[in-house]
Amino acid sequence: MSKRLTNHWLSRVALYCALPLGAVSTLSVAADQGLADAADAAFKAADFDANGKVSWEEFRNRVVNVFGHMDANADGRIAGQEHPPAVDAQGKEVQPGNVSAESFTSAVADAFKQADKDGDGELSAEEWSGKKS
Amino acid sequence: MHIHAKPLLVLASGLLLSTFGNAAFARSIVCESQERMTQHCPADTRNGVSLSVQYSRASCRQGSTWGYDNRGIWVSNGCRAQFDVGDYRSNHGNDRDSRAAAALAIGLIGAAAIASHNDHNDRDHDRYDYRPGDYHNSHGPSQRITCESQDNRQHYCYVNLTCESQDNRQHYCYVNLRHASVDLDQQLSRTQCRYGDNWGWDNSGIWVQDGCRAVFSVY
Repeated sequence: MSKRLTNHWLSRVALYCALPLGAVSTLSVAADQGLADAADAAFKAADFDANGKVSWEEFRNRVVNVFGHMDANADGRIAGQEHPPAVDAQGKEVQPGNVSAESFTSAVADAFKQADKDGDGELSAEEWSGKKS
Repeated sequence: MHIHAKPLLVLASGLLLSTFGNAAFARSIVCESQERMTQHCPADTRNGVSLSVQYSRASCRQGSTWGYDNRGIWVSNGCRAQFDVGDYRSNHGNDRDSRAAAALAIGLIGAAAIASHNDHNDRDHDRYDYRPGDYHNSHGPSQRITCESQDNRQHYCYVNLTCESQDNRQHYCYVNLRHASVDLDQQLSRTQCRYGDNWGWDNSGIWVQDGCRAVFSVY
Protein backbone atom coordinates (compact mmCIF):
# COMPACT_ATOMS: atom_id res chain seq x y z
CA MET A 1 0.00 0.00 0.00
CA SER A 2 2.60 2.52 1.10
CA LYS A 3 4.94 1.75 -1.78
CA ARG A 4 2.12 2.23 -4.23
CA LEU A 5 1.14 5.45 -2.61
CA THR A 6 4.71 6.69 -2.41
CA ASN A 7 5.15 6.01 -6.09
CA HIS A 8 1.99 7.91 -6.78
CA TRP A 9 3.23 10.84 -4.76
CA LEU A 10 6.57 10.71 -6.52
CA SER A 11 4.94 10.90 -9.90
CA ARG A 12 2.63 13.59 -8.72
CA VAL A 13 5.42 15.70 -7.27
CA ALA A 14 7.52 15.16 -10.38
CA LEU A 15 4.58 16.26 -12.47
CA TYR A 16 4.24 19.49 -10.56
CA CYS A 17 7.88 20.19 -9.95
CA ALA A 18 7.73 23.06 -12.38
CA LEU A 19 4.72 24.58 -10.68
CA PRO A 20 5.87 26.86 -7.91
CA LEU A 21 3.41 28.59 -5.73
CA GLY A 22 2.10 31.44 -7.78
CA ALA A 23 2.85 29.77 -11.06
CA VAL A 24 -0.02 27.34 -10.74
CA SER A 25 -2.39 29.73 -12.37
CA THR A 26 -0.08 31.42 -14.80
CA LEU A 27 1.14 28.18 -16.28
CA SER A 28 -1.91 26.07 -16.37
CA VAL A 29 -5.07 27.36 -14.84
CA ALA A 30 -6.21 29.19 -17.93
CA ALA A 31 -5.98 25.96 -19.85
CA ASP A 32 -7.14 23.68 -17.09
CA GLN A 33 -10.11 24.68 -15.00
CA GLY A 34 -9.73 21.46 -13.06
CA LEU A 35 -6.33 22.59 -11.84
CA ALA A 36 -7.77 25.94 -10.80
CA ASP A 37 -10.47 24.18 -8.83
CA ALA A 38 -7.83 21.93 -7.25
CA ALA A 39 -5.74 24.95 -6.28
CA ASP A 40 -8.81 26.57 -4.74
CA ALA A 41 -9.62 23.42 -2.79
CA ALA A 42 -5.99 23.17 -1.67
CA PHE A 43 -6.07 26.77 -0.47
CA LYS A 44 -9.17 26.09 1.60
CA ALA A 45 -7.61 22.92 3.02
CA ALA A 46 -4.49 24.82 4.05
CA ASP A 47 -6.54 27.64 5.58
CA PHE A 48 -6.75 25.95 8.97
CA ASP A 49 -8.88 28.57 10.69
CA ALA A 50 -10.92 29.42 7.57
CA ASN A 51 -10.18 33.16 7.76
CA GLY A 52 -9.54 33.45 4.02
CA LYS A 53 -5.78 33.72 4.42
CA VAL A 54 -3.01 31.19 4.77
CA SER A 55 -0.48 32.16 7.41
CA TRP A 56 3.14 31.02 7.50
CA GLU A 57 2.26 28.56 10.24
CA GLU A 58 -0.59 27.08 8.20
CA PHE A 59 1.59 26.98 5.12
CA ARG A 60 4.54 25.41 6.94
CA ASN A 61 2.38 22.65 8.41
CA ARG A 62 0.94 21.89 5.00
CA VAL A 63 4.24 21.69 3.17
CA VAL A 64 6.13 19.90 5.94
CA ASN A 65 3.39 17.28 5.85
CA VAL A 66 4.14 16.69 2.17
CA PHE A 67 7.88 16.58 2.99
CA GLY A 68 7.07 13.87 5.55
CA HIS A 69 5.24 11.89 2.88
CA MET A 70 8.32 11.97 0.69
CA ASP A 71 10.72 11.07 3.47
CA ALA A 72 10.21 7.31 3.16
CA ASN A 73 12.83 6.29 5.73
CA ALA A 74 11.79 9.05 8.14
CA ASP A 75 15.32 10.29 8.69
CA GLY A 76 14.34 13.91 8.26
CA ARG A 77 16.03 14.19 4.88
CA ILE A 78 15.03 13.77 1.27
CA ALA A 79 17.83 11.92 -0.42
CA GLY A 80 18.48 9.30 -3.05
CA GLN A 81 15.37 7.68 -4.43
CA GLU A 82 13.16 9.79 -2.19
CA HIS A 83 14.12 12.79 -4.24
CA PRO A 84 11.72 13.30 -7.13
CA PRO A 85 12.94 14.59 -10.49
CA ALA A 86 13.25 18.32 -9.96
CA VAL A 87 13.86 21.46 -11.92
CA ASP A 88 14.73 24.93 -10.72
CA ALA A 89 12.76 28.11 -11.29
CA GLN A 90 14.27 28.39 -14.75
CA GLY A 91 13.19 24.88 -15.64
CA LYS A 92 16.72 23.50 -15.53
CA GLU A 93 17.10 20.00 -14.16
CA VAL A 94 18.57 19.83 -10.68
CA GLN A 95 20.62 16.89 -9.50
CA PRO A 96 19.08 15.18 -6.49
CA GLY A 97 20.74 16.28 -3.29
CA ASN A 98 20.60 15.45 0.34
CA VAL A 99 18.00 17.90 1.52
CA SER A 100 17.68 18.47 5.22
CA ALA A 101 14.56 19.73 6.95
CA GLU A 102 16.51 22.89 7.76
CA SER A 103 17.45 23.76 4.19
CA PHE A 104 14.01 22.74 2.98
CA THR A 105 12.37 25.07 5.52
CA SER A 106 14.67 27.88 4.47
CA ALA A 107 13.75 27.40 0.80
CA VAL A 108 10.05 27.18 1.57
CA ALA A 109 10.22 30.34 3.67
CA ASP A 110 11.82 32.16 0.74
CA ALA A 111 9.07 30.96 -1.59
CA PHE A 112 6.43 32.07 0.88
CA LYS A 113 7.93 35.55 1.12
CA GLN A 114 8.03 35.83 -2.65
CA ALA A 115 4.41 34.79 -2.96
CA ASP A 116 3.35 37.20 -0.21
CA LYS A 117 3.15 40.20 -2.54
CA ASP A 118 1.66 42.64 -0.04
CA GLY A 119 4.00 41.51 2.73
CA ASP A 120 1.30 41.03 5.33
CA GLY A 121 2.69 37.64 6.36
CA GLU A 122 -0.27 35.76 4.96
CA LEU A 123 -1.27 34.48 1.54
CA SER A 124 -4.59 35.41 0.03
CA ALA A 125 -6.27 33.09 -2.47
CA GLU A 126 -4.92 35.32 -5.23
CA GLU A 127 -1.39 35.17 -3.87
CA TRP A 128 -1.72 31.41 -3.46
CA SER A 129 -2.66 30.92 -7.09
CA GLY A 130 -0.43 33.67 -8.45
CA LYS A 131 -3.23 35.88 -9.71
CA LYS A 132 -1.93 38.79 -7.66
CA SER A 133 1.19 40.39 -9.08
CA MET B 1 35.21 14.75 56.30
CA HIS B 2 32.90 17.43 57.43
CA ILE B 3 35.41 20.02 56.24
CA HIS B 4 35.23 18.78 52.66
CA ALA B 5 31.48 18.49 52.49
CA LYS B 6 30.82 22.16 51.90
CA PRO B 7 33.10 22.60 48.86
CA LEU B 8 31.59 19.44 47.36
CA LEU B 9 28.13 20.84 47.88
CA VAL B 10 29.12 24.09 46.23
CA LEU B 11 30.67 22.19 43.32
CA ALA B 12 27.55 20.07 42.90
CA SER B 13 25.38 23.17 42.98
CA GLY B 14 27.60 24.78 40.37
CA LEU B 15 27.32 21.76 38.10
CA LEU B 16 23.58 21.72 38.50
CA LEU B 17 23.37 25.40 37.72
CA SER B 18 25.59 25.12 34.69
CA THR B 19 23.62 22.13 33.36
CA PHE B 20 20.35 23.91 33.80
CA GLY B 21 21.89 27.14 32.62
CA ASN B 22 23.03 25.62 29.34
CA ALA B 23 19.52 24.44 28.59
CA ALA B 24 17.81 27.52 29.87
CA PHE B 25 20.03 29.98 28.02
CA ALA B 26 20.59 28.11 24.77
CA ARG B 27 19.67 30.24 21.78
CA SER B 28 18.23 27.38 19.80
CA ILE B 29 16.45 24.36 21.25
CA VAL B 30 14.95 21.22 19.73
CA CYS B 31 11.90 20.17 21.69
CA GLU B 32 10.06 16.94 20.93
CA SER B 33 6.78 15.44 22.04
CA GLN B 34 7.09 11.67 22.18
CA GLU B 35 4.16 9.27 22.38
CA ARG B 36 1.98 12.36 21.97
CA MET B 37 2.80 13.41 25.52
CA THR B 38 3.41 17.01 26.41
CA GLN B 39 7.12 17.72 26.76
CA HIS B 40 8.52 20.76 28.50
CA CYS B 41 11.97 22.09 27.55
CA PRO B 42 13.59 24.63 29.88
CA ALA B 43 14.42 27.90 28.18
CA ASP B 44 14.78 31.58 28.89
CA THR B 45 11.60 32.81 27.25
CA ARG B 46 11.65 36.39 28.53
CA ASN B 47 12.30 37.76 25.04
CA GLY B 48 9.97 35.45 23.20
CA VAL B 49 10.30 32.22 21.25
CA SER B 50 9.85 31.45 17.57
CA LEU B 51 9.64 28.14 15.77
CA SER B 52 12.46 27.95 13.23
CA VAL B 53 12.32 24.40 11.82
CA GLN B 54 9.46 21.94 12.08
CA TYR B 55 10.71 18.35 11.95
CA SER B 56 7.50 16.48 12.62
CA ARG B 57 4.82 15.62 10.16
CA ALA B 58 2.50 16.13 13.09
CA SER B 59 1.44 19.74 13.06
CA CYS B 60 3.04 22.36 15.28
CA ARG B 61 0.50 25.12 15.92
CA GLN B 62 1.23 27.75 18.52
CA GLY B 63 -1.24 27.67 21.36
CA SER B 64 -2.46 24.22 20.38
CA THR B 65 0.53 21.86 20.13
CA TRP B 66 3.35 24.18 21.13
CA GLY B 67 3.79 27.23 23.26
CA TYR B 68 5.94 28.72 25.94
CA ASP B 69 5.64 30.01 29.46
CA ASN B 70 8.05 31.55 31.90
CA ARG B 71 9.75 28.20 32.49
CA GLY B 72 10.36 27.22 28.90
CA ILE B 73 8.85 25.73 25.76
CA TRP B 74 6.25 22.97 25.60
CA VAL B 75 5.23 20.72 22.72
CA SER B 76 2.50 18.11 22.46
CA ASN B 77 0.82 15.54 20.20
CA GLY B 78 3.97 14.66 18.29
CA CYS B 79 5.16 18.17 17.48
CA ARG B 80 8.94 18.22 17.10
CA ALA B 81 10.69 21.40 16.16
CA GLN B 82 13.65 23.66 16.63
CA PHE B 83 12.90 26.88 18.44
CA ASP B 84 14.87 30.11 18.47
CA VAL B 85 14.89 31.96 21.75
CA GLY B 86 14.71 35.73 21.94
CA ASP B 87 16.13 37.62 18.99
CA TYR B 88 18.32 34.74 17.87
CA ARG B 89 17.58 33.41 14.38
CA SER B 90 19.04 30.12 13.19
CA ASN B 91 20.71 30.36 9.83
CA HIS B 92 19.99 27.40 7.59
CA GLY B 93 20.62 29.08 4.27
CA ASN B 94 24.14 27.82 3.59
CA ASP B 95 23.39 24.17 3.10
CA ARG B 96 25.55 22.70 0.36
CA ASP B 97 22.43 21.22 -1.14
CA SER B 98 20.51 24.47 -1.04
CA ARG B 99 19.90 24.37 -4.79
CA ALA B 100 18.37 20.91 -4.49
CA ALA B 101 16.39 22.15 -1.49
CA ALA B 102 15.05 25.09 -3.48
CA ALA B 103 14.02 22.82 -6.35
CA LEU B 104 12.42 20.37 -3.95
CA ALA B 105 10.57 23.18 -2.23
CA ILE B 106 9.25 24.37 -5.56
CA GLY B 107 8.06 20.87 -6.39
CA LEU B 108 6.45 20.11 -3.07
CA ILE B 109 4.83 23.51 -2.88
CA GLY B 110 3.44 22.90 -6.35
CA ALA B 111 2.07 19.58 -5.22
CA ALA B 112 0.68 21.03 -2.00
CA ALA B 113 -0.82 23.98 -3.85
CA ILE B 114 -3.14 21.76 -5.82
CA ALA B 115 -3.62 18.71 -3.59
CA SER B 116 -6.38 19.49 -1.17
CA HIS B 117 -5.55 16.82 1.33
CA ASN B 118 -3.41 13.77 0.66
CA ASP B 119 -5.60 13.31 -2.31
CA HIS B 120 -9.00 11.81 -1.79
CA ASN B 121 -8.64 9.84 -5.00
CA ASP B 122 -5.57 8.12 -3.57
CA ARG B 123 -7.57 7.05 -0.58
CA ASP B 124 -10.45 5.73 -2.61
CA HIS B 125 -8.10 4.04 -4.98
CA ASP B 126 -6.21 2.30 -2.21
CA ARG B 127 -9.21 1.65 -0.06
CA TYR B 128 -9.26 -2.09 -0.47
CA ASP B 129 -5.62 -2.44 0.42
CA TYR B 130 -6.31 -1.40 3.98
CA ARG B 131 -6.20 -3.88 6.79
CA PRO B 132 -6.90 -3.19 10.42
CA GLY B 133 -3.64 -2.09 11.94
CA ASP B 134 -2.25 -0.72 8.72
CA TYR B 135 -1.95 2.65 10.32
CA HIS B 136 1.31 1.70 11.95
CA ASN B 137 2.82 2.87 8.70
CA SER B 138 3.34 6.56 9.21
CA HIS B 139 3.60 7.11 5.48
CA GLY B 140 0.22 5.67 4.67
CA PRO B 141 -2.67 7.79 3.52
CA SER B 142 -4.79 9.57 6.02
CA GLN B 143 -8.47 9.59 6.69
CA ARG B 144 -10.34 12.74 7.55
CA ILE B 145 -12.89 12.76 10.34
CA THR B 146 -15.11 15.59 11.45
CA CYS B 147 -15.70 15.60 15.18
CA GLU B 148 -17.72 18.34 16.84
CA SER B 149 -18.53 19.27 20.39
CA GLN B 150 -22.10 20.53 20.72
CA ASP B 151 -23.34 22.56 23.68
CA ASN B 152 -19.85 22.40 25.20
CA ARG B 153 -20.36 18.73 25.99
CA GLN B 154 -17.77 16.09 25.31
CA HIS B 155 -18.32 14.15 22.14
CA TYR B 156 -16.48 11.00 21.23
CA CYS B 157 -15.90 9.97 17.62
CA TYR B 158 -14.99 6.38 16.96
CA VAL B 159 -12.62 6.04 14.06
CA ASN B 160 -13.63 3.52 11.47
CA LEU B 161 -12.93 3.01 7.85
CA THR B 162 -13.85 0.79 4.97
CA CYS B 163 -11.11 -1.75 5.28
CA GLU B 164 -11.99 -4.57 2.96
CA SER B 165 -14.71 -5.68 0.68
CA GLN B 166 -16.27 -9.08 1.13
CA ASP B 167 -18.88 -10.31 -1.32
CA ASN B 168 -18.75 -6.86 -2.87
CA ARG B 169 -20.35 -5.36 0.22
CA GLN B 170 -18.98 -2.59 2.33
CA HIS B 171 -17.47 -3.66 5.60
CA TYR B 172 -16.51 -1.24 8.31
CA CYS B 173 -13.66 -1.89 10.72
CA TYR B 174 -12.97 0.03 13.84
CA VAL B 175 -9.37 1.06 13.86
CA ASN B 176 -7.00 0.63 16.71
CA LEU B 177 -5.16 3.92 16.82
CA ARG B 178 -2.40 2.64 19.05
CA HIS B 179 0.16 2.88 16.27
CA ALA B 180 -1.45 5.76 14.44
CA SER B 181 -1.29 9.49 14.67
CA VAL B 182 -4.19 11.88 14.84
CA ASP B 183 -3.72 15.46 13.86
CA LEU B 184 -5.98 18.45 13.87
CA ASP B 185 -6.44 19.24 10.23
CA GLN B 186 -8.91 22.07 10.09
CA GLN B 187 -10.56 23.99 12.85
CA LEU B 188 -14.28 24.57 12.27
CA SER B 189 -15.08 26.37 15.51
CA ARG B 190 -14.22 29.88 16.55
CA THR B 191 -13.06 28.34 19.79
CA GLN B 192 -9.41 27.41 19.51
CA CYS B 193 -8.91 23.67 19.73
CA ARG B 194 -6.05 22.96 22.11
CA TYR B 195 -4.65 19.47 22.31
CA GLY B 196 -5.16 17.89 25.72
CA ASP B 197 -7.42 20.74 26.73
CA ASN B 198 -10.52 20.50 24.58
CA TRP B 199 -9.52 17.72 22.24
CA GLY B 200 -7.50 14.54 22.33
CA TRP B 201 -7.51 10.95 21.24
CA ASP B 202 -6.96 7.43 22.49
CA ASN B 203 -6.77 3.96 20.98
CA SER B 204 -10.36 3.97 19.72
CA GLY B 205 -11.18 7.47 18.68
CA ILE B 206 -11.11 11.20 19.10
CA TRP B 207 -12.78 13.31 21.77
CA VAL B 208 -13.71 16.96 21.64
CA GLN B 209 -15.33 19.23 24.20
CA ASP B 210 -15.95 22.83 25.18
CA GLY B 211 -16.87 24.02 21.73
CA CYS B 212 -14.00 22.57 19.75
CA ARG B 213 -15.19 21.49 16.32
CA ALA B 214 -12.66 20.30 13.81
CA VAL B 215 -11.67 17.99 11.02
CA PHE B 216 -9.01 15.51 12.06
CA SER B 217 -6.70 13.39 10.00
CA VAL B 218 -5.64 9.90 10.97
CA TYR B 219 -2.48 8.51 9.48
